[in-house]
Amino acid sequence: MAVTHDELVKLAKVSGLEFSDKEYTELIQAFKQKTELMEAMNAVDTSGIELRYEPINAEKDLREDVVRPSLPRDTALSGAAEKDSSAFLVPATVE
Amino acid sequence: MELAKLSLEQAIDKLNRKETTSVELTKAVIAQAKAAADLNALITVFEESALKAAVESDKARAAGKPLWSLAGVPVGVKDCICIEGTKLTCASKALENYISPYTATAAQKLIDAGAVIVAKANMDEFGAGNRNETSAFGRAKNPVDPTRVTSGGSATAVAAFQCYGGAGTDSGGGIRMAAAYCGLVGLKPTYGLISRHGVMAYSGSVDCVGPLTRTVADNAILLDVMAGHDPLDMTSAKQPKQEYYKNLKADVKGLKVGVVNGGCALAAAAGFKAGGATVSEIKFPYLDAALGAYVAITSAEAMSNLNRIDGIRYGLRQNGSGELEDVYFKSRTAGFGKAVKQTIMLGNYVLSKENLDKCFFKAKKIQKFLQQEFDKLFKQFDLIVSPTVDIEAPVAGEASNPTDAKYAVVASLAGIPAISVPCCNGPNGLPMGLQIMANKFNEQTLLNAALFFERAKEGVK
Amino acid sequence: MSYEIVIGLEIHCELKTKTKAFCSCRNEFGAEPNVNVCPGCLGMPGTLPALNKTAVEYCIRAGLAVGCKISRYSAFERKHYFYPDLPNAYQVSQLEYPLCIGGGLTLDSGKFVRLNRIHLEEDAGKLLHGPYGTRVDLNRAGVPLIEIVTEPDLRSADEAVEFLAKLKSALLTTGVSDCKMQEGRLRCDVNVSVNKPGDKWGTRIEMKNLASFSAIKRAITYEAKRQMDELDKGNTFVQATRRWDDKDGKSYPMRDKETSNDYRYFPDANIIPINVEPSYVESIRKTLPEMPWELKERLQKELGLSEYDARTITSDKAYSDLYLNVLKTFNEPKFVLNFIMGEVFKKLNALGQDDIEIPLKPEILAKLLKLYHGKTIAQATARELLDEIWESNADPEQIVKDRNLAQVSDSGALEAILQKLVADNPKAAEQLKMGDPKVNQFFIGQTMKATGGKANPAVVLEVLNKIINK
Repeated sequence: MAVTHDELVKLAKVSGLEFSDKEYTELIQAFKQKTELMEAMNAVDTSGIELRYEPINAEKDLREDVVRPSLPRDTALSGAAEKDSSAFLVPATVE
Repeated sequence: MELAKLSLEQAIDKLNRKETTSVELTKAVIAQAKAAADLNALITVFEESALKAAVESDKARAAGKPLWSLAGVPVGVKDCICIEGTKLTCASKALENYISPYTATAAQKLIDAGAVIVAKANMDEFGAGNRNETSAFGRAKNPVDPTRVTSGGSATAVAAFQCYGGAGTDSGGGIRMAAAYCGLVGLKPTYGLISRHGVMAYSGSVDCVGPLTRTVADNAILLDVMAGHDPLDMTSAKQPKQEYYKNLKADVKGLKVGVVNGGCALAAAAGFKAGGATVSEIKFPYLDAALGAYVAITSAEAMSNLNRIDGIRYGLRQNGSGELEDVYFKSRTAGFGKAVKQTIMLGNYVLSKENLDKCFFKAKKIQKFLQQEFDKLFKQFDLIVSPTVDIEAPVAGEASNPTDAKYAVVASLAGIPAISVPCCNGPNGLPMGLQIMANKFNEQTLLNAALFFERAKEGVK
Repeated sequence: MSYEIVIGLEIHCELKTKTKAFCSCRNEFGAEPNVNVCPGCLGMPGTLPALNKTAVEYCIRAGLAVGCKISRYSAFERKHYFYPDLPNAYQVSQLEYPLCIGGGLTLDSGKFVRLNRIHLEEDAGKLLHGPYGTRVDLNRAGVPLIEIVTEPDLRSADEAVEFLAKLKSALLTTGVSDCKMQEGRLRCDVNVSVNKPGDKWGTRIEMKNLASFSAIKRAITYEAKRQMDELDKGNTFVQATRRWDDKDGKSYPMRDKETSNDYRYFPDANIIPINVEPSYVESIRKTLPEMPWELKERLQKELGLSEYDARTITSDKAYSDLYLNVLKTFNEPKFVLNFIMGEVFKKLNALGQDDIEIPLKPEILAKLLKLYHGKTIAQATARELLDEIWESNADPEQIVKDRNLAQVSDSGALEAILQKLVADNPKAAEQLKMGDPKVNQFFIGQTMKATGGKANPAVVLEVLNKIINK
């Protein structure tokens, strides 16, 4: 299941990442190694296994609906590179 | 220097006997950190705030105020664990200047127990890697042989006496492999025993916080402090409070030990017989499949967890052309290193429509399968022993080999506790670790066996 | 050539819990930007979700109200996409194991519209568009939503709107949401396709985030017509998402990347699946109030309302609440019904909104209606007073007293007025004597004019007869 350059370009889009041609070549190698590792999963028969997990109790184990203090707005915004006095700023989005 | 070399247990003892002070201990470890700064173990050193906390701790002690278990003891935490008002970089350029507005539960428990947090330790960027070579701030070196790797700056710091113990994280061996490479004791507890709230997630279904120490007793002391249910983490277990240190005894009497051989595991495990355990080799033919499942699950989850790093609310921001889309692409491309980018790409590959079933869900099924296999094994055995990693710490810069982690990842996927204790020395005289695994929440059995092993090894010396 | 229109709805409804779905920040509409945010809903490193018990309860409650089966085992997935209003770059939602399955609602025609599911998810933040770019407000990020998905059972814009109104009324009755469309608390995505009767279903077009009944109606009508026109021209089209522009009254294609459905859903390992015990479901079911369709039947049976009257008065919770609460202190079911369906509806239509809010308190309206019913005030006065107290909730009894608005029933006072009227209008008086009843109205009208509308018509007639027959 070797990955192609074109597939990687598509993956880069949904990954929010950009790569140079050299990096794509490295990625093909890295993917080869990792996909080989994943192929080893096929040695185990998992046909009888159902993906359900031990649940917690909806009535007893969930968070009570009680308000706790939020962050002071200045603190909430403090890490942002671009902001005004009350909001984070991004380039104009299309409505 | 000698003060810095005390075990955490000894340091507490000396403080209690008033033979030393928190300020002396703090100064001693900070001096070590400065003297061996080239090991690059630490990302941030809290010299000022640590000394201030130490002074306060000494004052409280002098005033006869009640003291908590770690009062005045300097410890370090990995830089993916949040402490309010301090930098949290996760060893990434993306978060180089990010200040966390809150404190992780595990770190808060250390602080509440009186510990003096001296430093944030180096790590693989966001946890992507197992040799601490992917850090944006340079690799952490192995103090035993600086040309070789460690698996985390926390281990380097503990082994180089830059703190008395550390809180690390372990997704697929982070704590245990680091311990093995540096001759330390490292515990990955049962999944859910220590809260993950405030710990930057790599892979939520396997991430664990755990103690890295120079001795088994030290490990039990830190585990006592950090373990416990946390309503802020839905995966946190509701378990009765244990007293691991108080109940610690070098005892394996009557235990049935199964050995997955590799490295010197079988020979080392034979030592348990002297304590009255029965030891037998077992076949565990699933290491490769487990590694494949680990790769699939962690890359998918890490991708998802790292997508929030976009430069908008915090972190490195690059605007590029000024289009919204560019904020994402340019910020992330500039902020992340190669290993992280590859992990994100692989995660998206694993979750793509074509691969979702055959990669991701297959991996989740393997994980469940492994849990069932361990359930069966623990009906026959009390402990399962294997190498932590079957090689010595690799030389830095060598091509990394993911199969290094194959013994470590099974416990991660199964969610069972596993400890690495120093075992034999490898062909180059470097430390190697023995991994001991137990059934869920049997940390006491694990620590007792580890203490037995540690004592037996000391006897050999 | 005639076509059949096939419509399915996806309704998003914000729950009115005190806190957000996964953190303890306040769930509040209209606050200053970014005051209800914490590391969790800002997507900061290290945060973990802690599922809100009440959000789960409300989702179950909504499901029970519309006849869903409640899942014993329910789990959460992450849906990934990058957008500034989505701090984690994924929305927590439910794909594989939703909380509620099936159910449905019956339209007035008797047609049953099936639901596919109701699941719990989290809302995104808000983008505030300004001249210098976009500001991101994350107060709404993480607010719990339920998504209600219908089967493609609707066949016209009118059916879709009727269904939505009924659903809204049901949700309001359960108390899980304010359902305010104007505040975006109830929003609707519409799937429309057209096909020739007997043919396979056509290609589905989705229109997102329709925020009013009229937008929904117009969007469906426009989109169905557009599709029919395309097909008539022999054109085909692919499944797509279009944006409805309510100002233009047209739908437009959305850019590819906005419609990409490569969401890479997978289970959220940080949220443990939940087990919903049947006993818990029953305890919630016990607290369900009377639903609008149940109330309708009761009003027909107990108060003898006609089917039409009962349906109309229960068509919005605001109506039925007002009606039932007025009856509590003034038990004249028919009289009250007629006044609400006449005068109150007239007032509401003048305001013309989707989210009906009646500022007038029922006990105040009851006072007004008592005055009117007891003939203390005339109809015209009752109408005027309704306007006056609508928002102020001033005491009608006090106003009537202060301004002397009570009907003039004093025959002495009226006699003087009427005698003058009879004298001034001899022709009309003659007609009246001949027994022509039309002239009664003339004298009543003139008396009203003279008394400022306060004359009691019954007394007017009584006095008039006395004068004529003297």
